Amino acid sequence: MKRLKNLMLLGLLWLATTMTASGAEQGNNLKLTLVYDSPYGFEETLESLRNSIHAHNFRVFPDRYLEEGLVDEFSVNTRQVSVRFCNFSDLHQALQIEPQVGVVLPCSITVIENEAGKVQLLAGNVQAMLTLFDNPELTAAFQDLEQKYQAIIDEVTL
Amino acid sequence: MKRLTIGLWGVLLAMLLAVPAQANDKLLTARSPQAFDLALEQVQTVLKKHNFTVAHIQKCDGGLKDMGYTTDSYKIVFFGRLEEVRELSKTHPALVPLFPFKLAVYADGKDTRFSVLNPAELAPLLGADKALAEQLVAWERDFRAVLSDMETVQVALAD
Repeated sequence: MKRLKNLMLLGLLWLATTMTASGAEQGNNLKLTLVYDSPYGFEETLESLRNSIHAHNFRVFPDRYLEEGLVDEFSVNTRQVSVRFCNFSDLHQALQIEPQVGVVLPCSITVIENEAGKVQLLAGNVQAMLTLFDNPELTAAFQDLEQKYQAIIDEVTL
Repeated sequence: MKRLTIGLWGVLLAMLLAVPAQANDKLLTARSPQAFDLALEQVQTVLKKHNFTVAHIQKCDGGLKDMGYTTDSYKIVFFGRLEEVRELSKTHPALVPLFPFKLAVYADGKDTRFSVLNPAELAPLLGADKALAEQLVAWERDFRAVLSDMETVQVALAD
């Protein structure tokens, strides 16, 4: 009986260690955001991004400058543009599963051109974003969104 | 041997308690007993009080209704500070997808709830250096102050 108790204790200890280690590993390996270099110019990258998002059946909202609303229109940096998009069916489903999901909405990919003329695409990492909610149902429902993001970015940067 | 067993149980309990704590801390939330429209108006005032600028408000509920879905009131308030966005988008481009910050405001019965990412908890996922980690902690402090104000400050209902 005593041996069984000790075995159970060791088993639980192993389980707890695995859960803690898995959480730590997620934190260490996953990146919350992804940065990609574009081999094309700023305008060309933006146009290609909009077209690719459309092709993946998302509704594209009007572009917004990253600083828009934070500063007057004459001072805004026009070389930082967020292309925002949404699939309303997915949005409705996501809000039903996890009302807090709005903190990472809407889907967006930002194109920036830095002072050296380098053009980059920046996006949230869907896999990492999903871990923030600790909601297995949400994760299961939206795992494929990561592949869509990747396909869009691949089309734009290839 | 008995002492060792007790110690092991203690370690086990601490580890199991730590796992849900890690998950919950990544989001900051608050609840206000105020109706949605008043709370939405008030949160903009509170954000300004804490030196944030409201960049725009996304009407998720309106968009969903236009597409034929039924939904409760749901808006996202985008906010930030220009100088921080301008500086950090250069020094730490990985932060760009987080700008402007997003505060989800949504009806929960008669109450209104607010949710925002906890910046300090994102440090490992952002590979934050010391300067960024300090900035993330400062934002967490500010966000908590905003949410605390939303829980305590009441707007008088007009007659």
